[in-house]
Amino acid sequence: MCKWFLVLTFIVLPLHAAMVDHIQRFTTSNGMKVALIENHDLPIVDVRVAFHAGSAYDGEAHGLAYMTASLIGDGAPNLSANQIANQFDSLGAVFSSTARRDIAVVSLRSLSNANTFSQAMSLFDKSIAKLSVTPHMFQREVSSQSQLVRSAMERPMALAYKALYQALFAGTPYAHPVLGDLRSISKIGLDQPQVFYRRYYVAKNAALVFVGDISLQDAKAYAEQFSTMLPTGHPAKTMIVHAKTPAKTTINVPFSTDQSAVVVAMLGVSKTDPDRYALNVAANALGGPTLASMLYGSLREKHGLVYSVSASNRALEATGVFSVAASTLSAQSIKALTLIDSLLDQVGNNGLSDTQIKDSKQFLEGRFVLDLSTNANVADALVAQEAYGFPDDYLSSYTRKIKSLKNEDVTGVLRKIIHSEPKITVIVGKHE
Amino acid sequence: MKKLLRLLLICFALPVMASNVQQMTLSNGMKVVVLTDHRSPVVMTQLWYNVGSSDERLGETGISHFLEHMMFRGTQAYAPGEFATMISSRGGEDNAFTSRDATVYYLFMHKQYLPLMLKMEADRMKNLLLSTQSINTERKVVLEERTGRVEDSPLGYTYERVNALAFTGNPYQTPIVGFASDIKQVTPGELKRWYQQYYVPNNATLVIAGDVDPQDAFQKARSCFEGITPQALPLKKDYPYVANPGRVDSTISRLGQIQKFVVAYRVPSLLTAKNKKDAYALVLLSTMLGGMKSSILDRGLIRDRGLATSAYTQYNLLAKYPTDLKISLQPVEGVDHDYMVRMVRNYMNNIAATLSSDDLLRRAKAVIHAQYVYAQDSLRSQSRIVGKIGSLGLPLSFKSDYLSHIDAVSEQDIQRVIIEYLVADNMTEVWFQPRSEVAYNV
Repeated sequence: MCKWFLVLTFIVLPLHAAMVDHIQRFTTSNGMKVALIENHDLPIVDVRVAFHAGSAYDGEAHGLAYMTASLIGDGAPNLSANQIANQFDSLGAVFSSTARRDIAVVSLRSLSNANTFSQAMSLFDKSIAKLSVTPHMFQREVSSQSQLVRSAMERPMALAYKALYQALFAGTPYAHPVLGDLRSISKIGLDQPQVFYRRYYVAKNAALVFVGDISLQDAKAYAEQFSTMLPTGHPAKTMIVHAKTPAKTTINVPFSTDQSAVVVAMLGVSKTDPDRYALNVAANALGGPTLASMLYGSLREKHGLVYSVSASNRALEATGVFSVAASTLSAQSIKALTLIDSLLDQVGNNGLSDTQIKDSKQFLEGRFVLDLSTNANVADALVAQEAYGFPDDYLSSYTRKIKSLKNEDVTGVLRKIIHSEPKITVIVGKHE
Repeated sequence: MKKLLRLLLICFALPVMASNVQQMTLSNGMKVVVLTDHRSPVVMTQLWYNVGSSDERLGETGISHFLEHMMFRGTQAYAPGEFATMISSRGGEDNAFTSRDATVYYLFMHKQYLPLMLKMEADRMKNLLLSTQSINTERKVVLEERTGRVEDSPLGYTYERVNALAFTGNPYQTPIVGFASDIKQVTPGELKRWYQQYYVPNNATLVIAGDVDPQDAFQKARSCFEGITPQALPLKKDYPYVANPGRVDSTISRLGQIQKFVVAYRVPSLLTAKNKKDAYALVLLSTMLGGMKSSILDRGLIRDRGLATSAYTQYNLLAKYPTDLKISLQPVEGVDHDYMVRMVRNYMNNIAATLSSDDLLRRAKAVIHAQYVYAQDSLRSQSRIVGKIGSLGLPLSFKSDYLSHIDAVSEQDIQRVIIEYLVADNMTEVWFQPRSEVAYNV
């Protein structure tokens, strides 16, 4: 099996036990929340700042949040894009900026020696503190984002999830793809990113984190310097999303491809729902990233129908999507769907066995330590935790919470979801 | 005081970056490399078998990769599926990958499980089941994988064609996943023979990385593996570096949504370069061309001219055989094929001039230096690096000497490498032109 499984970046377990208890928090003079995990083993600092500026805040201008995030770092007052690129590279620093559904995250990785880091932070500050968009930059971004949309149109699984979200969240801010679509991108005006930026890239809508070889004193100084370059502003409106049952619960998207993408989905749980722990254990037993899961055991090991299949809860701030996804040769898609449905029925009626739950819990507990054994992953997870306002002990209590789950909680939440409405099936592929 | 403290902290950090790697060779020829990193109570084992797609001939392409799949399908001691359950129920990760030159199995678990990890790897080195029924089921899985990666992926398909054209007469010509007809026809006998020939201790490098004591780790490795008998290995052919005899220019017309443009120059790797400095110069050249934000192509094609939306380069310094410098471009929508090809050729003809007017080389070195440090953060990266070094038979000092070789490359070295390798005759250009069969409204 040569698949590389990605980490769960929203769950945090720091490098070793002592660090869990040493998250230092403070607020800057204009209201920006900051968290710090010191780790002086390597001469690296990872900086992340998250804003509630994801695609859920696009309004009618689908793709605007993504465009705004991408424009950051493309230019700054008195610094062209070429100059910024030159300077970051000269320092060996890595800068990136992207938007997701709820939040946008700007990242910096730098060597920690004082001279290098202070220059890198100065560039970081300049890149974020003021957005000035030239027509040339704007055109480049429109072109680039449009190509990303077209690229997604080549992938059946991307099309499947696009159709799913449109059906499940129709009329809500979660319905459209983060990138937008070709038509909506072409309708975004030159001034719109600027307006979006002024509203959402503000101190009180941000969470800033430092992980690595930096002291509390220095973190405070850099945080203050950064945050006071932004207006104080106010937090984004809390997102509320009510999913509706769509008119059609089986969606066939004709697409010329050898392999079809098959997705079966129900409403899941949100990032702050207390049932999330139990659902993660259940989803992992059903279709986690291991050949030992039920879906892999059936669809791959026994029947050879798929190279990859998964069950997961995609947790968003306001809600979640629980889905089973598989890619299989088009002629086999009905067979794969039948197997998926029968496994869901089986689990929906009989739940999971004690062994399955125990194994799944142990997998998730062990996985945290593995997933978060790098500064970079810890920084990603820490900024997400701070941005979503998880409790302060979220880090230290995660494995304890998984361990303490009762079998009936795990089985109960999965059965509840499987029996819930709506259940939506999407098949992207040749119509047979 | 703070400065002194910082200096002390750096001194303590240095041992992690310096010689935390030790190596030994068992009496049966198996190499064992131990890399210590005490930041987290975890350990990764990587078992590198020195066999990959570059050992395959037409008719048996994809067999290394197929065998990799079969390594998860059961041994005499562990029934099919039991291996995966044993690892995952203990909170571990188990996976593998096949490359052109090696097949690598890795386990990542809490350090207390090191004995179990070694026991399981030793077991599947000797006792793989390879039943006909499970081979036939797994065949379907491998074909699904190929379909997803190649037939249904315009970019994957393009790369397969690029390699077929650029690597004529070179074992990198064939795809790692193999051709569908070969996957369909490989027999249990052939898989067994491949396994018996190549999965032997004298063809393997074991990496143990993480929170371990080196002497204890060596001892555990010895007790699990030293009893396994070595075998004589099949003869490996030599493939000296040969440039392309003329530019190859081709267009693929196939279902898809966006154009793609890939250019490959045949170049030597470190092991196959007459002048080792050329290989390090190629690393820097690859970075300068498209491996950093301020690269020539990022600046020229993307930012200044808006001809492409992405550009990146690849050069595998540690390829066993002569390799390529690949440039992958995402053209903007609607750009004319001839115009784009001309622009790229124009850029490539003028890089020597661009170089001397910009401090690209200095920046590329800064980027590589920083990347070297950042890689220390990842046990996966560190394990892969030492595994590859061991598997190729390079000394461990390669890792610690790397940056000084990079630093020693001068602008003259870069110019020399451009003149010798980045010439029109040595180019393979493949353009992907999409066709749309089904109208899809966005």
